[in-house]
Amino acid sequence: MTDLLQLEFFRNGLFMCILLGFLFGTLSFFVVMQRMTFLSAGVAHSAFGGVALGILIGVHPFFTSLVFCVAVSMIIGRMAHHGTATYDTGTGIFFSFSMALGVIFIALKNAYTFDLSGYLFGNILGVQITDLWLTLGLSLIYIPFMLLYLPKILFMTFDREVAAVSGLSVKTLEMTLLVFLAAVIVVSLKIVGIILVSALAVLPASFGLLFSNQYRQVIAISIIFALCILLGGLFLSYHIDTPTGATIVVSGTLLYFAAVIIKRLPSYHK
Amino acid sequence: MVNPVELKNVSVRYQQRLVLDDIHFTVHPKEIVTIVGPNGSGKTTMLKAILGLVKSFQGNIRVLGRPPGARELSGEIGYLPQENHPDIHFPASAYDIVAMSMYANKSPMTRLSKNDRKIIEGSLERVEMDAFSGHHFGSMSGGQKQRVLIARALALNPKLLLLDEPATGLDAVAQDQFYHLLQDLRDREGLAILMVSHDIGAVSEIVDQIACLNRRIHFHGSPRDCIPRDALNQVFGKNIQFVYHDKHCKTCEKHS
Repeated sequence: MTDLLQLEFFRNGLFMCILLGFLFGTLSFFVVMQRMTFLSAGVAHSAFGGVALGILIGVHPFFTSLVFCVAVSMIIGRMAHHGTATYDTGTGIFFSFSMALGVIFIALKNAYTFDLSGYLFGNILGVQITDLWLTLGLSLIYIPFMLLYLPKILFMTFDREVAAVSGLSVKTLEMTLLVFLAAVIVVSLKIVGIILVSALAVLPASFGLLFSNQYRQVIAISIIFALCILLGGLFLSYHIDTPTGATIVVSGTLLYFAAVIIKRLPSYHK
Repeated sequence: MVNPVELKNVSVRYQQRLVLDDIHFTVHPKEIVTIVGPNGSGKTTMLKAILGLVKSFQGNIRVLGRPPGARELSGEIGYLPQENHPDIHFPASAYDIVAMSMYANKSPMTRLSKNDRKIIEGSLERVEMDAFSGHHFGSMSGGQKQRVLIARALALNPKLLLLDEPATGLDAVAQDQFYHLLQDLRDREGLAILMVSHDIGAVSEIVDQIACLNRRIHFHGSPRDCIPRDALNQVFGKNIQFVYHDKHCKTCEKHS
């Protein structure tokens, strides 16, 4: 363990996983309860367009993918608010559009030596200290926001229309959540990658909902689950020499189904 | 005393279609008024226009003396939308559901005070759901859920309750209990209640005014008055039959 912590890339990855555990643990609850799982997958995939744009114009892909993801999530959100298209339809459109743009941007860059697969599937070796600072900065904005606005977000999630009639700024709150979703997805790309990140937005809360019907407990279980699979996946991937992102997602999925099976056992309900 | 709801010459269009046409309508204080009409007659649109959720309309709407959607109306109106059980898996108790409404107008830094908790418990007590305070909302029966959602609306101490098809999915016993609760709220708390229903028979027992709507209001009066057969035909169409069964049937024989 101490040997592992001597390795800078592993230390960065470890701290990154801890921060992401808190971020995805809470965000997952709202993604699942607001049925935005496809939206989270769509926003993650739109990061590909941003990463490719960054490569094309020579800007750090973090910033271009952040702009891309935030823009896409806000456009999808506005389309849904205006009744132009549902979240589902909007996501379907931008999912392919952003990926297609990414392919074009990559094609326009005649020769590149960038590790694109690291962004697609995650690569712990790619996590640098700047990524860690960016994630910490995001956490310092996101966590207080969640603590302060949790009851209002909960009301909006449960009953959007009544929340609006009761005086809640539903649109602003929903857009803010979408921006946070986009930002959290972007900071996590180095660990789990564009293709796999949506699992982190879905699995933690789905696991929590198996064991509790009180939202505080669901969020707490969700955070613990996210921390367990991120850290467990990180250590496991190191020991069995597998890609970190894929190991995190596979272990999370297996843990989820193990919980589903355990819950169905007659002995569980005794 | 200002009328809780007043509509004068109100029309609403969705794209090219006229959904509400020249509506004149009033809800007086301490009155239960129901809007009846078939599916697609504009009932929910009318309710949403009153709530300020339909922004584009012609004419004049006043809610508690203010334009619909005015900031001052937050907390003055209790609203129960149609199909108001978004997710039966939503992890919240009856208490949590009622508490949600208390946060709507609070600063993010403020948490529930002792007084707020008393109001929440009192609201659940008013709808006789205090014994179910800690129960999971999603596991409750339709009637119990309706009561909890009414408690959520009452927690804000509103002057006006707006209910969209509140009895949908309730069995006859639960419906009866629910309508008695509304009568109690009018008589004991002095609330004005406006509800939308497609079932003219079930509501006519308890309401003070009934408005038959199908794009236009074809009848607006007391259900104890005889609703002219012509008005019912215009609202529900000619191919309807009235089946006389016990207390719920209010259409007069002499007009049919």
